[in-house]
Amino acid sequence: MGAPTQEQVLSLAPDDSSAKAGRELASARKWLNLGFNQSAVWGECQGSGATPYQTRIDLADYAAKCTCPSRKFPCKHGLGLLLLLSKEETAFKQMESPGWVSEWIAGRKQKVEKKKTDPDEPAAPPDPAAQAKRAAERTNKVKSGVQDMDRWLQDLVRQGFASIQNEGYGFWEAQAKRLVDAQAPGLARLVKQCAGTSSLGEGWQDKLLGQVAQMYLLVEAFSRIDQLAPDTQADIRTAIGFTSNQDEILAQTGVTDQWSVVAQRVEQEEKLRSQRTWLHGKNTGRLALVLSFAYGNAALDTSLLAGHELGAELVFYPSAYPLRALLKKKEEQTKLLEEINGHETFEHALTAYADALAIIPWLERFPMALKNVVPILVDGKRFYLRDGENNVTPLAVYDMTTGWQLLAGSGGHPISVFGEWDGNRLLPLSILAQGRFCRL
Amino acid sequence: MLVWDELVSTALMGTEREIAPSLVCDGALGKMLERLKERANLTKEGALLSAAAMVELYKRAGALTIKSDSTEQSCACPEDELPECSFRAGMLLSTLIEDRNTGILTEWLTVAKQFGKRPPSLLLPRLLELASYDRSLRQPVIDLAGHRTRWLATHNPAWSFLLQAEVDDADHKALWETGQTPERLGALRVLRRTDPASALALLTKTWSEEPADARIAFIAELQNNLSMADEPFLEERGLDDKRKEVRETSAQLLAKLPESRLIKRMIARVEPRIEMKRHDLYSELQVVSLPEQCDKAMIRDGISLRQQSAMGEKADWLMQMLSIIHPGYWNERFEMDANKLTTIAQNSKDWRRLFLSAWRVAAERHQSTSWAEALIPLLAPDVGGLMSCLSQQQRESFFLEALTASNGLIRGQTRVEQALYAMLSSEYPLSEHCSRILLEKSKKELTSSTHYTNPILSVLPAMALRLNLSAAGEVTTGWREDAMEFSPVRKVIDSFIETVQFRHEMLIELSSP
Repeated sequence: MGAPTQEQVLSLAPDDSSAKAGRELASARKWLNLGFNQSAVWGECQGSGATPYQTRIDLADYAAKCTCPSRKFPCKHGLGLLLLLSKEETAFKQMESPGWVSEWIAGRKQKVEKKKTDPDEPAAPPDPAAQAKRAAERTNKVKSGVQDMDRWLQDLVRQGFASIQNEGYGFWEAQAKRLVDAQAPGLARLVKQCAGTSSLGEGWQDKLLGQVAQMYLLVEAFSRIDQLAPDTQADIRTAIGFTSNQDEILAQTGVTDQWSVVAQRVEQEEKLRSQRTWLHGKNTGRLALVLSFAYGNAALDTSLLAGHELGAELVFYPSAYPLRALLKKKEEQTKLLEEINGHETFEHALTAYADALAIIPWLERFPMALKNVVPILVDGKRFYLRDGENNVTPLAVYDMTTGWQLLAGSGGHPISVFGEWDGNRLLPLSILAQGRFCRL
Repeated sequence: MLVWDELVSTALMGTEREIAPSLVCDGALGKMLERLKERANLTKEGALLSAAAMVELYKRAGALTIKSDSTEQSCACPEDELPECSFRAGMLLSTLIEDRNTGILTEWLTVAKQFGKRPPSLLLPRLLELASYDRSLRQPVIDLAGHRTRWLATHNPAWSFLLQAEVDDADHKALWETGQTPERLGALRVLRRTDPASALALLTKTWSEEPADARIAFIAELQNNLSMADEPFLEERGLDDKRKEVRETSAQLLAKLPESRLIKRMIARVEPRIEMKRHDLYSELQVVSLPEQCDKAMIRDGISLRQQSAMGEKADWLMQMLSIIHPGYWNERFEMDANKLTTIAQNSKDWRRLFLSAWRVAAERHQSTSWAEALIPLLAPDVGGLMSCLSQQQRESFFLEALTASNGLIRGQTRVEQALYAMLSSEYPLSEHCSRILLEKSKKELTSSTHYTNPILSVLPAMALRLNLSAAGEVTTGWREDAMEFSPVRKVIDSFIETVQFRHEMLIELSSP
């Protein structure tokens, strides 16, 4: 990909403090033996120890590796090196990469090659019979876990929510743990979300009934999954927590389009970071969600940068309303996003949501692109969006700064907003105003 | 929704205790719920949960927006004339806000103003937030603020400082008539800047009815745009006020007006007590007599009974009187310039301290450049206040002159050091010439000693903020090599270089079209 722009580099930063630390390291004086070629860029940075840290970056996808002990990815050295490259290419000497760089690059290439060739070799799966047996075992395990869950849910309403109102997190955690043991992590997550609802104050029982009923619906559907259409089956399995084989999905033909990367958000739960990247197809009009997970100090995927558009092929997971997808192929040429195509009115957007809900009742977060909407502030503390028909809808803004940013970005003029609709409110993720894309 | 409320109340009490909900509802949802009753093997609990799932989905799918009351609509902000700064310049600004680096942040705002760029819209909230806490940022933010910034500020009371300049004088006058003391104070402050005479007129009108605390606060505002127009009010109302604080402030303000009656009275008191005895080869300043007492009239004019110096009581009163008089009085009276007079005072065995201390205060009070220049060499190193009377250019030439007569920047060469501190603590950047010399000197001094106690290290941070950026190209090289190894010294040098380079990058980014 060559030298990135400063903007690209900063979008790789896992958090603000890394970006800042990276900035401070983006000075040629801090580095020794700076070099680059077509595939990589590298340098040695003096830290507090005796030996300098060796930092190397694969220019194919900006993946970084560094000998520093940082648990962040990329670390400040990686960011600093890339930032330096973006602003002062002359500080680097063009040359053959030294061993510690070329070996790493070669290793990465090999891994990618292996991944690519695997699905083409049908002989590779070790033993279909054993595999089928394992799958059947798992299904049975899940089945009994789901049955247990069915009884548990019914018990909840038999005894009444009033009797469990004072239960702490442990009550929900215990059931979630049973579901994890039964290999139904999707359900487990839904149970965990209920913890805390009873302490929400007014209306908690409404919310809890909604959550419990939702889980019951899923449990019920799973009990008669064989009678449902294959795509719906896939959705139920996903909601329960079955995983799909990514290689099998990638082997299929995807949707090729000019894709706009309209939003990117990283969420952290304990040591697991999940990156949600939303794309919008220019010609197909389709929306796609590409997820990337990283545990501990592993790196998140950096091949899609918010605010850019690129030609790419995406393969969707089987679903009755496909949203989640994998990136199969992409062109290197990207250009800056100049518009976000979206609904002109909330009515249209909400109709699309209702249609999706009719197909997947378990849909939790629905992508919503809105065009010509104006952020407004009510009573000095609540933020809303107003569409061209003068309808307003509430925004899920958790810190005031995000709300103010929306207001500042629009200046009272219509802008495009992309966000996730949770059924009640819109969580804004990015805006496009005056031809400029901005992450919130 | 009745059917939902029924479901919730059953779920809350439990199906054991509560009767099953009726599940009666109109339309398509009603039909769906009806079908639920026909399903066999469905427990009471299963029926409740299935019905709840349906109604919940029905509600979510049918979410409606609210029709907004069109009168609530705020109008959009007009387009800003200035273009938004580059992405990089925005990144630099973002870093400065993040670090709360007020010094360079002020420079960013000033340079942006100079080259006609505005901050990225999305950074405005954080910038205003910071300026609402940090008053030193307010003026530069106000100076740069375009339509969008002001529009944004109308939405948050915490950012109203930005709008004070917006409100015109008529509104301030109205606020003065109707507001509470803090608002009236704000209005008076603004009016005093835009129209000092009418601010004084307003104050005079209501003065006798103002409570004491308000009078104390209001009269201090006259320091802005103080002129002889204020003299009658201060002399006739202020000096005879019931409250001591008001009297003291009035006396201090009158002491800044060379033509005031207060200063004339002071001259009349002092005149017979001081004489110049002229000998053939030299002249001698003499105190003919000290005041016997500090009478009521003196106290009214701001002479304090509390001693201001270590001198005797009577000498102290005289010193206080001298310090109020504009030093130009002595030039006229004895027909000598400041240099001559200070030299004579310096040579006076008995009265040296009295004259020099008094004149120092007087020079500062009346911002007399010539007297400051004359006094600084005599009083160095303790001349911080006097340096404020000089322009940055004067400070620089004083510094360079002192430097040639010394062999180092900070070697107990107190004059050099004083000038250096004064230059660096002023808000103005150094000249190109002076920057280069200073940079050269600093590198040289670090060459001779790289010990972390080298005093030059303590001035590098301030120097980084004031260095003229035409010298930015010379900051990276020329440091002693072994100073570059990892050490506390290197840290200071690194951060010096980074700061200068940061400012340089900022200048380049903001000045490029």
